[in-house]
Amino acid sequence: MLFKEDTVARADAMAIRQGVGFYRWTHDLVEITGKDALEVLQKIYISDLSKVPVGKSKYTASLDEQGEIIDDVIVMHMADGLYWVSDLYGPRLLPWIEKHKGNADIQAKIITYNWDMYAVQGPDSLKAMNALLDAPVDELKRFAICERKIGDIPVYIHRSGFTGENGYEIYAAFDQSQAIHDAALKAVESVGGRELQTLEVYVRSIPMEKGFALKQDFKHLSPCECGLGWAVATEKDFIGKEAALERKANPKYRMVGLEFSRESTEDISIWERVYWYGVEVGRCAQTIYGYTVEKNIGFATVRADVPDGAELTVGCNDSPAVVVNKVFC
Amino acid sequence: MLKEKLDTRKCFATAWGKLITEEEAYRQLNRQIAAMTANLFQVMRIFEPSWEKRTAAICDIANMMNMAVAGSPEEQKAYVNQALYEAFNIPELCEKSSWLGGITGDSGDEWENMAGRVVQFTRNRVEKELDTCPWDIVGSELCNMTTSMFTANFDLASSNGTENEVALNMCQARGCGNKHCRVVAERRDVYNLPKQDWLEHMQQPVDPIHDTPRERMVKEGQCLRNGQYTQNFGEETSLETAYHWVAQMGWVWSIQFPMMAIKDMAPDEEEFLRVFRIVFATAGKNQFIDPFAKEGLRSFLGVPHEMDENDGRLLGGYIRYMLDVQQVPYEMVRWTRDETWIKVKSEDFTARYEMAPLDELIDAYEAQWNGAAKTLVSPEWSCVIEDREEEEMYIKVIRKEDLRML
Repeated sequence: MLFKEDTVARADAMAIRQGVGFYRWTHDLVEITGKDALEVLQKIYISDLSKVPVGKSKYTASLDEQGEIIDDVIVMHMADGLYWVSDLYGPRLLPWIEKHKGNADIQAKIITYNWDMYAVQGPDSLKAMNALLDAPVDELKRFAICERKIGDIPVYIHRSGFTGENGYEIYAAFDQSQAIHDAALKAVESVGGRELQTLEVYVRSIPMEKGFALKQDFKHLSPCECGLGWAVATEKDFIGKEAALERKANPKYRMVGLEFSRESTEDISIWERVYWYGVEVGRCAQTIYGYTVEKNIGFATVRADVPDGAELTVGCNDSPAVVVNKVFC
Repeated sequence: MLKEKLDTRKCFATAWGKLITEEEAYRQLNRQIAAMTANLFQVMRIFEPSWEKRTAAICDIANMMNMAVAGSPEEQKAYVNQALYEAFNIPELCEKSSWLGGITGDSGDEWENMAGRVVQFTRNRVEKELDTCPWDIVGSELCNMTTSMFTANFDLASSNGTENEVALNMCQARGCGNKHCRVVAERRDVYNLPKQDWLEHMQQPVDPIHDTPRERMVKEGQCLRNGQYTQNFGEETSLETAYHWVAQMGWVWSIQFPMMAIKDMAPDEEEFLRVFRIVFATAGKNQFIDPFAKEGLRSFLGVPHEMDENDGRLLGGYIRYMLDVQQVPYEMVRWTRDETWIKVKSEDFTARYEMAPLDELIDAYEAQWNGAAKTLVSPEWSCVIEDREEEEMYIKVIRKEDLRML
């Protein structure tokens, strides 16, 4: 949990919103190869990855047979027949691929320990990156990948992030991590930025303000119940498609934003019960303080009939909250 | 609809058919282990009058045993990766440093129904605040001892080999009568703090604490509030799993670890057992000395009004309930006005955690239940545990003259 009085957390958040911040942001990374790689990825993920050319990436999600989200990931098309899946829970992806690949020619392996990743995020991130790299990245589009060098170290630059601000991700060989860290720190500080200290700021607070959710926020939800309907490619087949489309027509739940009217939320952990007129209508997935919006905010999964503006209570001490749009700023 | 509702809750029946929910049993188990710990610590205080000496001794052993779980120094890093990071599904974006101490500490608390919250979780500082603790009756030696176990968690998780980077302080403790328990870990290099000895772990942290006001405190851990524990990265542990974990590990850390040190405080094994049995016998007699304690138990277990107050099945039913709560399998062999026999595999009774049998549980419960027989039923009644050296032993509630009652 975060408090508005936390000066370190606030400085971290403001660096992202008003300047630039960087932090180690290594996810599990799964390398997918093989002549049928695209075919299997198309089966597993809800988006049409055939439209993603080499050097581009796509945010997407995988579903179970009930049409409920298992995980959300970024699929990066690194070269012909070579994909990287950036995922927080890579070891769980491998058996899922194995289960569904059939006779397809596809190889998947964890390469997390080969590639370290740092995120450079914020409105001044481009300035920091250009100070850091051997060549500028002004022309790099969102969800695009290019090769550069930091000193003599070859790196991949991916223009992406989890902050709602302009930002970049630096992939470099794991054994070069310290050198990348030191160079990035110098570049970021040269444009007035800082290395972030508070995990909850860059994992929860900053993303939540912009409506970015974590895997656990999607639990028991199908894509259209949590605002990911746009990512669903209905013209292709994928695991859980039929159930997901049924849930689109007859949603059971919906994911909403919560704005708390009390200053603190000490009694709320993740997955607390949510009540409407005293009746349990869902679960609050997570809450946090947002330093941009200056409020305690949260995500909840509630019954589909709970409207915007509904006054709910959360947890055992009846913390009052109002249902709002899940993009807070 | 009715059938659906009937199927929605897990429970077990007492000897008289009263249903005890999983939640109630789990709550009782935690408190029961804490009560056993409290009795054991009285034994410790008899043998070692110096608070400092006894506290240092149990800290030493608890830390050593916690580290030993991870194996040899070479195996310890692999243990952290496999048994902790992967088991907790902690993503790679977390540094492999003392962070993990914060996460394992949080899960351990919540699984044992210590209700609270992680207040701060940064690279340099972790603050964990508890509003309740089932072990709050034991005393400050145990609070100190838990800091030595946290130290082991932090050591194992450390990026500097096996010596952690933090100053770890339980700056408040329910066991000392504070409103909260609070453990704060602050990086020594950032806060310019020295490495600590065992008795230096209850100091104030450098940065100010965040004190949750009473009206925002919680009374139950996540497993009872929400049916599951969900850690910071969304990984879930069901109440069922948490309950089973406590039924195994609760006995290990809070009974077995300190008992190893306490035995060393006694002149010899025989004298240890003599005092041990006396303390537990006294605890048993006091369990039901008040008339409302007996009435309360009858109501709780659903004992019918027509059952005579001098019927040994009152204690037999209580023991059966306690075995159910503790997830110990048993078989009822006799259940009459004159005797209760309960057959239990000796290994099931003593080795709650398979790797760590605790034979003293037989001595403890025999003494305690025998004491309880005198006040719950009458002095005509006794509880004995027979065939303890055999594969199967018998817990018997019988009428028995006892010329040398403890």
